[in-house]
Amino acid sequence: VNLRLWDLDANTYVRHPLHCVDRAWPESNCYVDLWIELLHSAGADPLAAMPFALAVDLEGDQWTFFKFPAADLDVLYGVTVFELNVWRSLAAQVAEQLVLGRPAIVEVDAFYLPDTSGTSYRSQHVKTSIAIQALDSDDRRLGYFHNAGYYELEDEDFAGVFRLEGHLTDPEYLPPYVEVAKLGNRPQLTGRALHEASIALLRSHLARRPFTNPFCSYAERFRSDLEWLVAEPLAYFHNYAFATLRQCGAAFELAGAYLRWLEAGGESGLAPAAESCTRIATAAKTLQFKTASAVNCHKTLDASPMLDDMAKAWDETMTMLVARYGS
Amino acid sequence: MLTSDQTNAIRDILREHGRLAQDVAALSDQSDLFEAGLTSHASVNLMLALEDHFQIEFRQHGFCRTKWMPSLREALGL
Repeated sequence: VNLRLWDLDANTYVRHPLHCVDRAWPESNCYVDLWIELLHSAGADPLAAMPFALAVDLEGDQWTFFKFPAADLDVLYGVTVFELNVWRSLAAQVAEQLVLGRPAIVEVDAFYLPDTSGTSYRSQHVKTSIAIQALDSDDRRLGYFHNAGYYELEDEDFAGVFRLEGHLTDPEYLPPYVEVAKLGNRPQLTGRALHEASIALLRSHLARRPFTNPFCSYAERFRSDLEWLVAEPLAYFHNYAFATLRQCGAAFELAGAYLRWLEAGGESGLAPAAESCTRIATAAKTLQFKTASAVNCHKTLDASPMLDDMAKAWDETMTMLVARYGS
Repeated sequence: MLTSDQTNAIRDILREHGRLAQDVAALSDQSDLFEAGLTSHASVNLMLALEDHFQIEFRQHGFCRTKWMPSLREALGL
C-alpha cells in the first residue's frame, strides 16, 4: 500500500525560503530544520513559531539544543505532538499514523539515509531525526524530511531505517524515540490571528529569557574551552562547534528572520533588533571558523572582540524587545 | 581573476574536502553547494584546506553557497 500525506517529489521539492536564501547558518539542528519543512508542506508558515529561539541559553558545556515547543505548535497551527508508544513493528505503526493523516518523527541511524551521502551514508552511525510523510511497505520505499530538505529512500535503506533485517535485530536494541504530529487537530491560525498569537508567544518567551547575558557567561567559558580544544583533533572541534556556536548562531539567525517577519506583518521599528540578532549569528559563524583554524594549527586565539560584540548585540536585542513586549 | 591553476586547485580541494553528494566536475561555478550536499561541517574543512593551500586568510566569515567560485575568490582575496 502506497501511503503519502502530500504529493511531493524529492527531485522537485521546493524548500521553505529559510532554507533557500544564503544564510550564515543554512543548517541549525535536524529537529528544527525538519519542522520548518514539515510546517511548510502542511501549508503553515514556520516563522510564526520562532520566538522561542530568543530564549536560548548557555547550558554548561552546550547552548540550548533549541526545538519548537510543542505547546507553540499547538497554539499556532493546531498541531498536537505526542510520543508514539513503539510496541510492535515500527513500519506498521508509522503506516497506521499516515492513514490517520499524521507524519511520524523518528529517530534513525543516518547510516541508512542517502541524503547524507558524503558524510554519514554507509560510513558512520549517527543518530538523527526524520519526519516520514510517505511509505510504501510493499515496494520498500520511504519519503522523508531530513535537515533542510525532502528525500526518498528504498530497499536496503528502508530495511536499515526500520531495522527489518535479521542482522539488525540485536536483542539489546531499544526502540527509537518516535513522535507523531497530529496535524489538523484544530484549524491553523492565519493572517492577523496568527500574527497576534505569535506576539503573545514572543511575550512569554521573552519573560523566560536568560536572567543574565549568556554571551558574557560564554566568553568566560570559551576561554577555558579553547585551552583544551586546541590540543584536540579537528573532528572533536566539530562536535564542540555543533553543540555551541552552531546552536546559538542559528537560533539568533532564525530570531532575526522572525523579527523581520513580524515587521513585514505590520510591527514597525523591529529592524534594529533584527540586525542585532544577525550580528550574533554572523559573529558566531566567524568565531566558528577562527576557532577551527586555531585548533587546526594548535595555536591560540583572542576571541574577546567577537564575544564582546555578541554580548553587546544580545543586550541590545533584549533591551529593545523587552521595552516593547516585556512585562 | 583566478588563473586556471587556481580554479583547478579550488575544485580539487572541494572534491577532497567538500564530501559532496555529486561529482565536482558536474558543478558550474554558479552551482549551489548546499544543494550539492555541502554541510556546515564540510564547509569548515573546505575553508581550512583553502587557507592552507593558498597561504592566506579568509577575509570574511564564509562564502556564499550559491555562485560559490566567485564568492570564494572574493572571500580569499584572490
